[in-house]
Amino acid sequence: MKKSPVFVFIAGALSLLVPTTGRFAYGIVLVLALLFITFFTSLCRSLCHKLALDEFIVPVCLIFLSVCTVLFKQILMLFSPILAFTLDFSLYLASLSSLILGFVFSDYSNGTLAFLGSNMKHAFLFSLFALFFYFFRDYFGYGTFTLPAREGITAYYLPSFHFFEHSFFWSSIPFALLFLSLLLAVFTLVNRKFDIIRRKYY
Amino acid sequence: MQLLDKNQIKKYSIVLAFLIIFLTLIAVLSMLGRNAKNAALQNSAASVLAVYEDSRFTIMQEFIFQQPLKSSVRLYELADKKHSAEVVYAALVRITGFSGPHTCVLVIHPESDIVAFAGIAGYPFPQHSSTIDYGISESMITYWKKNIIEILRTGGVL
Repeated sequence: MKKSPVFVFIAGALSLLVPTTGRFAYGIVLVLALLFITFFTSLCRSLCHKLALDEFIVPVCLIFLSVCTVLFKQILMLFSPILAFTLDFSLYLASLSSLILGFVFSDYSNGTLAFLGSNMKHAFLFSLFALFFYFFRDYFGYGTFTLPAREGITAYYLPSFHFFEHSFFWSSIPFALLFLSLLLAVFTLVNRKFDIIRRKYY
Repeated sequence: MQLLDKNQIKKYSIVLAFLIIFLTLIAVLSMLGRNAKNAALQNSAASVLAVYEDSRFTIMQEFIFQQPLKSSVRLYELADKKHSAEVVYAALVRITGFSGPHTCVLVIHPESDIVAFAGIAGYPFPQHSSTIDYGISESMITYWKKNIIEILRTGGVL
């Protein structure tokens, strides 16, 4: 069965972007978690490949995935215990998203560096999208730009207006779903247009 | 049964060694950060209580449950300026509402079964007084009011 990158992306985005609180500060933490877990689990996959332990790649990588998530949570707890307390299960959702699993079990035929480079490039591109998404969730929901701090989150108030004052809809998970589907529709449309141009001129 | 040769044992040992290094690191970080973590969580609850009802409540100490009941609940014993004889608790609870999870501070009066929402820990001040602004409905608070009393009873606090 052919794996569609769009569906992998949507499934990854659903677990990483939607169920958490729509604050940019949480977005930064989750993006760091994604990069940390992808890097170390990709290294683990490379190690298994180098040691010719192909039959154990899946269980070993899954164990490392869980261990890396717990390790990230412990590091986050040292930096900001309240952020770790709030995000708790969201970090596990991120690690078990199809996105990281897709990276880790992707094609390894071009060697360790190429494998690691490709995984980190894709994770970095997704991170940019995630930060963009969280920035707008924070702005629409609370009218702020937030950054992670030891005491929780630091907020910078941006000039904003709300159509529905005191409505939690803009910060809610249903709005996040709507916003995500809207962004994906726009990106797919733009990508299709670029494909047409590419096919026409190259 | 086929026995493992030296080469295979070496390979498995390398993977196992990496796993042990990571697990040791987790254990060390967990032990090193335990006190700082508890203090930071208590400070978060204290900063919410400092702006709640004219700083009526101050945290005396953390209540340690005898058995691990819930990882998402922290309990603190409070001193009440208005009624010094009454035992009051503050709970740091992770509540998942329509807008995702928030760490809420609830003030519990066990004698009268009253549980009041004080604010969101780790959020900047001033905060919204209504929980619905954070996507937490009245029914969710009511659920947690019942739940927190039940947790306190199971934990032997009440």
